[in-house]
Amino acid sequence: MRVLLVEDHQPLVKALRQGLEEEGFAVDVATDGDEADVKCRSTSYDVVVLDVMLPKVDGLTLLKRWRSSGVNTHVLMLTARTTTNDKVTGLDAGADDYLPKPFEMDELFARIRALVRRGHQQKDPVLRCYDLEIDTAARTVRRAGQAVHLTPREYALLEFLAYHRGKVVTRSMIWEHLYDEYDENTSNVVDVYIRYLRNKVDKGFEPALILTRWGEGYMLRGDDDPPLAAK
Amino acid sequence: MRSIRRSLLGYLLVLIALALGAVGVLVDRFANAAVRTREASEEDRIEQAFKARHAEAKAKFDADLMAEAKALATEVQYKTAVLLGQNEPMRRLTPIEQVVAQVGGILLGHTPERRPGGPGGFGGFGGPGWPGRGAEPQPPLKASTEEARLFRLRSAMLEFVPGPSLLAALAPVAAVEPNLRGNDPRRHHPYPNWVEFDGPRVVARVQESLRASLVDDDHARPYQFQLTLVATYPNRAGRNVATLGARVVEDALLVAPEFLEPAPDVEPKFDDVNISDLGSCRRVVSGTTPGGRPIGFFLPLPAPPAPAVIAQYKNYPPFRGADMMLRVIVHTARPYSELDSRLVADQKERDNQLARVRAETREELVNLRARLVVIGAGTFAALVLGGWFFVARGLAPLRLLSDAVSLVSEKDFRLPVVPTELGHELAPIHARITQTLTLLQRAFAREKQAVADISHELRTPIASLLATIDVALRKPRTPEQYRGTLEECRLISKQLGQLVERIMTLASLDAGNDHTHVARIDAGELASGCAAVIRPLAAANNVTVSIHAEEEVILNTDPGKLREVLMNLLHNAVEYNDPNGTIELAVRRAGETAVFEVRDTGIGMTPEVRDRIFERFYRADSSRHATGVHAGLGLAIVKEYVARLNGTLAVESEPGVGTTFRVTLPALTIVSTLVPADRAKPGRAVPAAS
Repeated sequence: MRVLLVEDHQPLVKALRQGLEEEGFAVDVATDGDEADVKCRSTSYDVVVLDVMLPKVDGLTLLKRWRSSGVNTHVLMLTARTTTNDKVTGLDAGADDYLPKPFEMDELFARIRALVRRGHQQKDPVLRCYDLEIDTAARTVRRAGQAVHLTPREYALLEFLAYHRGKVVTRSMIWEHLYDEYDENTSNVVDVYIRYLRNKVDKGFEPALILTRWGEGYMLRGDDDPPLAAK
Repeated sequence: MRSIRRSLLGYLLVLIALALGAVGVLVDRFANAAVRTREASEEDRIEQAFKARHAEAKAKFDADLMAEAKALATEVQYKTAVLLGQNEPMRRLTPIEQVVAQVGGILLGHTPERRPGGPGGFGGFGGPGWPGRGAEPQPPLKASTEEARLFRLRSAMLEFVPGPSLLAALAPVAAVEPNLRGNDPRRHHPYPNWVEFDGPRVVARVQESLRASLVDDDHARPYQFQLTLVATYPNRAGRNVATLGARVVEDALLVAPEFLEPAPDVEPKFDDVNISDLGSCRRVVSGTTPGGRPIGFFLPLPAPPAPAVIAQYKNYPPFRGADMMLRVIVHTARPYSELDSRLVADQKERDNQLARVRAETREELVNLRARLVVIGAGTFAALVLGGWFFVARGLAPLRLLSDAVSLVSEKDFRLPVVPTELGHELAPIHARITQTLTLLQRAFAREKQAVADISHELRTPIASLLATIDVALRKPRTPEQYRGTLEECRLISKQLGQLVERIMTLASLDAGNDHTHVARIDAGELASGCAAVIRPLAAANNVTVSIHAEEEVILNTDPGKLREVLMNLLHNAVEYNDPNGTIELAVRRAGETAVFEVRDTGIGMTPEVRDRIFERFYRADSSRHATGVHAGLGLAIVKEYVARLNGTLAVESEPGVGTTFRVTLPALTIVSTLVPADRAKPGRAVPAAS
């Protein structure tokens, strides 16, 4: 999942970035309003973490501008202003959630995850596909009751596929949501991670859940897809 | 606490009480005067009535006296006539009196028919040829029967009284008339030739006088004599004094009309006399009319009828023969005590009336005063109640204002009342309160904003700190990673500390706990120090800093504060400068002041922004957050410090061109460089370099 972190206080940016990345998020950072505007419009982020007090353009103005121009990305307002009035103003400006500073990292992560789920109309934090269970809260994966150990990036890929279960996701979509702006885009990195994931998730289990659509991309087997014969 | 309502009411009531008192006193005085006047007029009336009664009583007294005098005169005349043998005295006496008189007469050797004998000269006169001439005298009108009888008795007695053997003759008379007994004939001698009427020598004296006048051959002039008779009535105090006077006119003499005129001194004349044993007495002197009773002794012919009019006396035929005009003048006196005794009742009544009038007046006054007091008390009570009510009404706007003020809260600073409802007097208070509330509201809002700002400014570093630590603790790290985290934390904490320091500085300045430590410094040196400190930051922002301090300026000030001021201004100049911009720091003298100027070529400010830059937490550009340490407090601190240093702070700015901050410090002791000895003083010069 790719997150845009809009914050101008450098130490906080640094800590949040590290924390989010360790949670498996791809993190882009913008330190002022204009930069955030450009990045948000050019990339499809899953969640934007937006500070209110920003250089150049403040967070509320930016948010209103986005909403009026049809940017529907989920926004979590992060601000030092804590009065009810401030929260109401923030939410009414189009924010999906509001988290006052200072905050617990766990809470921030949980709220971001909730926003991600909401973005995919998913209420249950556990994503299921046949006998595969992905607990998005604990970030654990089980296949047929057996725990599957994944690296953060493998997990992120699986989770992304799971959120789009039954639908084809292209390599560029995967790239866009799983890698940040600084990652070097090499052509086969997605394929490599798909292979890793298959080794851990599908190997030894039936049916194979990660499907390849040649020329399009990958998808996680949906309920409509007929079970394939064992390879 | 004093109640305005009570005070107002108190003053009002004191005023009313004074007014009521004054009115009451005036009314009382006027009413008193009116009542007194009426009393006086009433008393006057009573007094007049009394005087009238008194006068009336006196007139009656006088009339009685007069009547008595006349009666006495008549009596004396009669007696005289009898003495002269012109009467028939016994005719009308009672039989007993006649007997007594006859006995007396016999004892004395006289008969009733005979004239009291004297030397023969008188023997021939008084014959029956004078019928009716000597009519019996009438007793006084008011005499009682007893008195009348006594009167007659005495008249009769006089007829019989002869000269020498009077005492023997009086013996039977004394039985009837006790007062005649034992009288000393010489008791009263007002004049040498006066005789007491009731004295034994009266008759003799009369006869003697008459005889002397008649016997005298010389008839060329009228003869006259005068006798005084004193009569005493038995039941009356006082003494009647009669004077018997007679004139004998020569027959050949014409009676001159003027002679016949009534003598003025014998007209009834009242006067007051003092009689030794009676005290003050009222006296009347009266006489018989001169022409009324001419007594002719020798003339057998009746006198011609007297003319009716006095003027006709001129034509009166000459009167022939001796004609004796006997005239009786009576002095009658009565003591005033008699009149006084009559007036006692009157006096008593007058006193009663006066006392009643005075009592009425007193009562009326008492009633009047009581009414005044009741009216005054009633009015006062009504005013107390009315005043309480009306004063409360009058103070209603005050209550309105008070209610309105009590409705003001920190949520709503408006004063919910219209000044027109309060009236002129409270309008200024209303205006003042409104003004104060507006100021308070602004201060409150500012304070709220400041608190929010402070919390906001503090929250961001705290959030950073927390996030950094949280992230570090999420999983095991290498020692290098921990070191990195700790350094991160130290940096954040340092910023946090600086921020807190600034907030505390401002709070301390606000609280007035700040102390200024004055020292002598070289302004140029201090400015150079500041410039040196700011240069690395400026270089990082591609800004050049130049300093202009041509002349040496020494002044007494707080170097720490001045340095803080300059540093803040320089920081701003760097922060708001354009890349490749310049900053000029100038130090110079201007008259008696030291001027520090920080000029940048930055973005400048609009006038609206310039008016607000000294507000706390205000940022001209809310985005300029990067340095983090100012948090919009820098210029607020500058302003406070300059004020503490008794200096002034001026800003000139033009958007896009640049901004100049000018700090002017007072030159209490600017020391010219021309006086190096001053600087050399040990302990005074302080190096300004940081």
